[in-house]
Amino acid sequence: MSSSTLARIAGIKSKLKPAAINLNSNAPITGGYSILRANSLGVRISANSRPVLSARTIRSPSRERRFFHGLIFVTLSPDTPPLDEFLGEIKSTLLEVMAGDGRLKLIGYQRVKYKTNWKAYCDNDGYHAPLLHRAFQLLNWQGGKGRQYATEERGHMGFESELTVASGGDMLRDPSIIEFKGVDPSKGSRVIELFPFFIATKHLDSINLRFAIARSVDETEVHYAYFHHLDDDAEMIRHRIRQASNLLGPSGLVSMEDASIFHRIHVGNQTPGNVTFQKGVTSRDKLSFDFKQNDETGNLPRWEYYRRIMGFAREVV
Amino acid sequence: MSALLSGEIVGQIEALQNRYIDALDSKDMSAWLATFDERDDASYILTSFDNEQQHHPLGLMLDDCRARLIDRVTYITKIWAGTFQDYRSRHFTQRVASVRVDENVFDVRSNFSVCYTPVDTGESKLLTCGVYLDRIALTNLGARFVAKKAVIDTSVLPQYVVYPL
Repeated sequence: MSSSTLARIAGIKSKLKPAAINLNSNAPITGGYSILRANSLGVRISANSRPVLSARTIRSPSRERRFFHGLIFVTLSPDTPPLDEFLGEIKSTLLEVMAGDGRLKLIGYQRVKYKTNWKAYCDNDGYHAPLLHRAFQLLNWQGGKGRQYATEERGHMGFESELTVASGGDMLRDPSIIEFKGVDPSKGSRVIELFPFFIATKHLDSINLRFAIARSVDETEVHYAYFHHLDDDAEMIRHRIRQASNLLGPSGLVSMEDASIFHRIHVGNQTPGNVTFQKGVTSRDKLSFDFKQNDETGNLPRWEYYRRIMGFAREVV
Repeated sequence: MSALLSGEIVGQIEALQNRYIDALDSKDMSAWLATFDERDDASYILTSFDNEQQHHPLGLMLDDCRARLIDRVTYITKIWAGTFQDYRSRHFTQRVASVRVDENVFDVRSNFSVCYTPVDTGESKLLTCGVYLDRIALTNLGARFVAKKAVIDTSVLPQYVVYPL
């Protein structure tokens, strides 16, 4: 999934690099939201930090909650901006992931730990899917037209793609796993990543919110929550359950390799050298927000934001 | 209960469970498929105790028909082959309850645990533990699973799961 390993494999050299970033640090980040709960329909709270201070000696900071169509955002920082400002342009794509109105019902969780640092889990290159995921190759599943964008302030990422239908479905005895029963193929594929590590995806008819927790420098825990829409009929609910269970999770037909590559990235990051980006980079010292759909430069605004709030100096290139 | 079943029946049930876990630990997916009945609605479901307790239907693997059982073999042997960091597994089972539901059909509950050893570290750990809820038919070919549900107690799996449990 990440460019870091792919870049290493390809021997790619950087034109622009977020300098002096320690890929294995687990330093806390302040001034943002944690996404704790997906809606008010019984979704379990997924706290993303462990209590380390005694309530008797330390006054707990107040928790501010904000709501986005049933998604609950929580911050402990008085410096966090209003939610509307925090989300920025990503709002529209996030709402499309949530079926357009957020009227969702939970159908269950898949929970797994990845042996990788949280920052490696975050990287997402538009071109990784056909290179990494053999299901796309074997099912002759081409990506549709679309766009990639990032918010300037915090480096949230969004991917919007038309849906295409795999032509190699004969390989499967039950092709319903790659069947689209929705009504608008132009909104068939959506992915958003909120800094630091909340991911939401809608692909085919699978609606998936991923709550990540940095458990240690070497371990990232991810809770995959899946939903159906409240207006779905019984057949559509059954379809979403069957598709969600087998398509995009940690054991999913399309995405299982992501789980394995996270660990390889983490191992690779212990070796000498720099993690670099190239595809789509247009300047050594200036961020561009003009991405092509499959560029990897969409990750750079997030890294730049991280570098800035952590106080890391930019390396002179 | 199991005490009411003949030794021959219990023997066939135990032999089926052993064939099942041996197939998985040997990564012989054809043998795994052969432990299931050939009826169209034969099923394998892997889910969590948390999902079951909250009546959430999602699975980690949801193969609710024979076509999907065959596709599970295709995923592992053709689509994913060579793309993941492999691990060895060792399954352990203990049958704890059996009940006859028809002349040749039995519902069987068994505890299980699975240890795993990643090939890169050689460090063995517990992958998960849970319970098998099985419907087993005695056929001319021997005992076969009509439906097998693996419910894991583990809230968060310590790593990705490639093979059925």
